[in-house]
This record gives sequence, C-alpha cells and structure tokens, in this order.
Amino acid sequence: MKSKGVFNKLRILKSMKLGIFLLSAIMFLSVLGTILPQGREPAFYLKDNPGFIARLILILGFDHIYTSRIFAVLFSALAVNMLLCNTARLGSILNRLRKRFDMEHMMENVSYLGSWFLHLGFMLVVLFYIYGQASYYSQELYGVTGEIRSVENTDFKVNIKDFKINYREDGSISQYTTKLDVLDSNDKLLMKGSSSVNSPMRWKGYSFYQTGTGWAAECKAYKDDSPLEAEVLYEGLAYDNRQENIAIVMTKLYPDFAADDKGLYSLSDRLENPVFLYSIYYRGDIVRMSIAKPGESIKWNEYSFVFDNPQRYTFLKVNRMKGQFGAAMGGMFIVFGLLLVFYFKPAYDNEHDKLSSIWALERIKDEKEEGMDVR
Amino acid sequence: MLDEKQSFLAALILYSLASLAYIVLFISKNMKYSNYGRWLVRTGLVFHTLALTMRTVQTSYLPLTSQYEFASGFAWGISLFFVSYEWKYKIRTLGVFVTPLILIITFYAALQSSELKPLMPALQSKWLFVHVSTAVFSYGAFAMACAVSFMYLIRDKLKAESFLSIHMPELCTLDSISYKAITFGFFMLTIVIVTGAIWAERAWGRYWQWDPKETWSFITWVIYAIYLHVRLKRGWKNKRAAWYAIIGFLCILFTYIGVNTILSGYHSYGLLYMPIFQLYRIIS
Repeated sequence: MKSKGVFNKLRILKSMKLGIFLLSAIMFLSVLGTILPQGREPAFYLKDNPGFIARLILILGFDHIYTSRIFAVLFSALAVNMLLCNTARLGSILNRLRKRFDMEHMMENVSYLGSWFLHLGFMLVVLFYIYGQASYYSQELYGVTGEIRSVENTDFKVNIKDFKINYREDGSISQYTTKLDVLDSNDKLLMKGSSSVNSPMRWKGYSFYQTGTGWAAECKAYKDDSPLEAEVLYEGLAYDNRQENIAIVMTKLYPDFAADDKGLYSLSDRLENPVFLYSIYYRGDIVRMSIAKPGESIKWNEYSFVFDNPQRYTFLKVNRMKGQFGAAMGGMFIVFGLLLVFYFKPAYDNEHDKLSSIWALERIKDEKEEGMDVR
Repeated sequence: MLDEKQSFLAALILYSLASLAYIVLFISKNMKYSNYGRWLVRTGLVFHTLALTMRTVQTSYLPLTSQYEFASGFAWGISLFFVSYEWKYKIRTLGVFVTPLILIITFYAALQSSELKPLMPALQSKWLFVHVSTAVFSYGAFAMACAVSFMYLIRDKLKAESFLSIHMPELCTLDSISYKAITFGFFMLTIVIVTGAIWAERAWGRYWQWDPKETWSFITWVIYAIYLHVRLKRGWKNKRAAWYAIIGFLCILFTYIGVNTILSGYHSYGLLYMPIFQLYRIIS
C-alpha cells in the first residue's frame, strides 16, 4: 500500500495538472518580465519601488526574469513533466497502433501520434533552449576596411576585407555587406565569406551578423609639432593620452554638413561635405568644443590634432548558440504534431473518441482510474 | 479606376455600412438587413483585397511591415473568416458580432501613417513575410472565435423565443465553431512563432530574446494551449470555453497593439515601459 501511495504521488509529476500549473507560472513571470524593466542596476529598482518590493525583485532575480533561477527551474520542471507524460503515453499509443495498423488506416493511425509529437517537440525546444542559453557566446566586433580584429575568448581573428553599403535610387539603404576573412593566430586563412543583414556568415558553429555601422576617421596627435600617436577613432570614442593628460573625443561626424540657427545637421548620409564635431579634454575638464574639416589642424596650446580619411566602419556580432538544430527539430515536431492532431483525425471507435484523438483516450483512462463512470 | 487609398477608403465605408445594417437588424428585428450587411462586407472585402493587391504591386513585397499595413491585413483576415464562416455555417446574425471588430481594426489602420517607405534591410526576409502573413490568418481566426464565443454568451442569456435566439445556431454549434476557429488560429500562431524565431536568428543572431512582442506571443500561445488541454482532456466546454476564447483574443489585441504602443523591444514603436508600481504608489 505504501508503494502504491508513493507511486500515486509520483504520478503527479507527469500529470497535466502540474503541466498547466507550470505553464501558468511561466506565463505569469513572462508577463511580469514585460512590465518590469529588465537588466537595470539595483539602484534603479531601489529608487523606483518601495523597499520590500525592490528587495523582493532583487532577491528573486526579477531584474533579469528570463535568466533567473526560478524561470530556469520552472522550464526544467516543465521539460521533466513532458518527458514523463510522453514516456507514459507512448506504450498505450503503440498498443493502439499495433491493433489497427494497416495501409488503409495508415494516416488515421499515425494521427494518434500527433499529440505525442507535439509534446516531444515542445520538450525539445525547452531543453535545447536551456542548453543554448547555457553555452551562448556573443562578442561584438567593429572595424574599418583593412583592420584585423581578434575575437575575445576564441583562437581566431577576423580581417575586415571590405564594407559596402548599397543604396537604392531614392537614396535609401538597401543592404549592408561586410567581406570577411577568418584567420588563425598565425594569420593563416581559415575561411572567406561575407555577411549582410539577414544573411549571416557561418563558420564552425559561429555566426557573423551584420548589425550596424557608424563613422570612423584617422586621428593624429602632435605635441609641439612632433607626432605623439595616430589611431583610428570611432564616432563617440576618444583618443586619450594619459601621460599628457589630454584627450580628444570625435563626438560626431556630419557627412554632408550644414548649419543654421537651429543647429548642426547633415543633409544626407553620403560623404559630400564631411565635418567633425570634437571636444578636447585636459586633466578631465572640457577645454574646447568645436568643428573641423578633414585634414584641418586643431590646435590647443602645444597640442594639435588632425582628423582625416573619414569612412564607414562595420559593426558585427559574433555569436555561437549551441542546440539550434535540436530546437529547430522541436519546432518542426510541434507543427507536425498539431497538423496530425487537428487535421488527420482517426476514424472513431466510439463516442468518447470523438472528443479528440489521443487526449480523449487519456481522459477515459484517467476517469477509469479515478473510478468515474466513463459511459 | 480606384487607387490603393481609394480602394481602402471604399472598404472602410462598406464595412461601416455593414455594421450599420447589422445594428438596424438588431433594432428592427428584420432579417432582410442581414442580407444587406452580408453583401456589404463581401463587397468591402473585394475592395480591401484590391487595396492590398495594389499596395503589393507598388511596394514589390507583401504589405505587412508597418502598423498601417498589418492592421489593414488583420482586418482583411477577419473579413475573410467572416465571409467564409457565414457562408459555411449560414449564421445570419454573425455579422452583428464580427463587423464591429472589422470596423475597429480598419479604423485603427486608417489612423496610422500609410506612407510608402523603402524596406529597411532587417525587414528584407522571406521568413518575415511567412511570419506576418500567417499572423493575419491566426489573428483573424482568433477574432472569429472571440465573436462566436460572444454570440454564445448572448445566446445563453437570451430567452429561447427571443428574436436573436431564433436566428442564432444552437449553443453546441457555436461552441464547436469557436473551437474549430481556435484550433486553426493556434496552428497558425505556432507557425507565426516558429518562423519568427527563424527570422530573428538570421537577423539578430538569437532565435528567442524575450523581446516583449515575442513574450506576449508566447503568452498568447500558452493561453490557447491551456484552453485546448482543458477542453480536450477535462471537457471544458460551453460557457467557460467561451469566456476563455474572449480573454485569449484580448491577449491577441494586447500583443498586437498594446506591446507596440506601451512596451519596448525590437518589434515596437514605443519606448516607454509601463510604470507597474505606480499603481502601488497610488494605492498606498
């Protein structure tokens, strides 16, 4: 009797009730995640919410709900529930198929598997998603044509061979494309390819996504007309010489510069009349903010700077997410399962079967076990 | 020959007249207005299809990428389902409950900017078009399920000999129609989510990012999945199922309009987060 009690308690693990409870809990947290700002600093939650709510948010990890432990536990429990449920049902489905499997009823019989495939698919999606999240790698990469950039935590480098923007006749952008070489640590070519928006370059599980662009320029610094340094500067970033305590920020590049009483702006996105907006900092204080043309010498005391050769830089994301194939298979099983459940209904043996395919069988089985009158 | 805007306007006017016809039917209890309403919606659907076709020709892609375009597609989907369900099940009072929905969504479309804009690179994907076009059918089916469920609840309250009751199908028929619409909508919604995930992976490098729109699509999917489970396995039918179908459609509307205007993310046009705990402050 005791073993039967334990068995009955374990049955709850594969029950639909538990599945629905877990789905509802996941749904509730998902709603919360769309309402509550995610990924902010703790101070944000402490400032905007009453003390105990803020503490609750931070303790439960609701500041990052979708990667929180609670969320992972709920999803894992759902996967286990579906695994047990599907395993338990497989026997009865196969029995039924064995009894009536002939060519005439083939499609109808196969439809009994629909719900099973559906649950298997969802389970696969959940498991491979968790695996993918756990093994996820993402790195941002940017540079101008000709630059070689190493990719953090990998043993390869990327040579940006070319970056091109395609324009339509009306001047709007139709596509961004970066040509890339993947190199090993000895600069040996491993792969050549190109990446554009919606068409990433793939290599050994890594995907190279074209995600953005911006302006860059060469920046040369001088002290008393002697060169200090030269480097490529990206819009919004600074040349910072700690020894001299001087820095210059390339605040913005206006590719087709214009100015009126409302301020500075660009007439187009093309390099027709480039002008740099810059700020000079000395010992941490801003000492000048002005504009300069390419090649124009910007002098401040004994220091001078020159911005030149403005050009577009490419912004890429290097990702690796394992388990994508498994998740895709899961998605396919879900769609296939639904198709079978809803659109290939079996020939009904009795009134109860009319309720649905395998769900009805399960219901009758449950009701019998609970001692209910199934007729 | 009408252009795209004129065709859309014609559809809007015809849908408005259809709604009016159904209101008159409701008030006058004269079934001849149901015929007027039905033909007005059918003609409206023809003009609406014409408007969408012309926009497709103009843009060289399926016009489902802006708020205006999707709202117009959404209303078109509901009209299409209405015409086919009305024809199949011969429910002459169906329009009383469906035409207001068509009209509201069409008006919402009319309020959006219909300016033709070149497609940005991220939106140039065949997966996007499968994703959004299946959403039109999914949302259309759920709207139909909502309207039929509403009919169910009204029919349930009315006396058997009342005018509307006489011209409405049996409760079990309404329940069955709502269920069928939900199964179709759910199947399509699954394809919406799967194709959306494929597109997201190709465009942004992750097939699921818990972006508010994704999250609310998932929430809606879970709501209908629970509906199907409790209905098929626990025999939840009739009134409870009808209420559930209506709540499900409210979630669809929030996924479509609420997320775009209130919550932020890849899909959205708004940048504000809902101040959840302002309510708490007001209360306290």
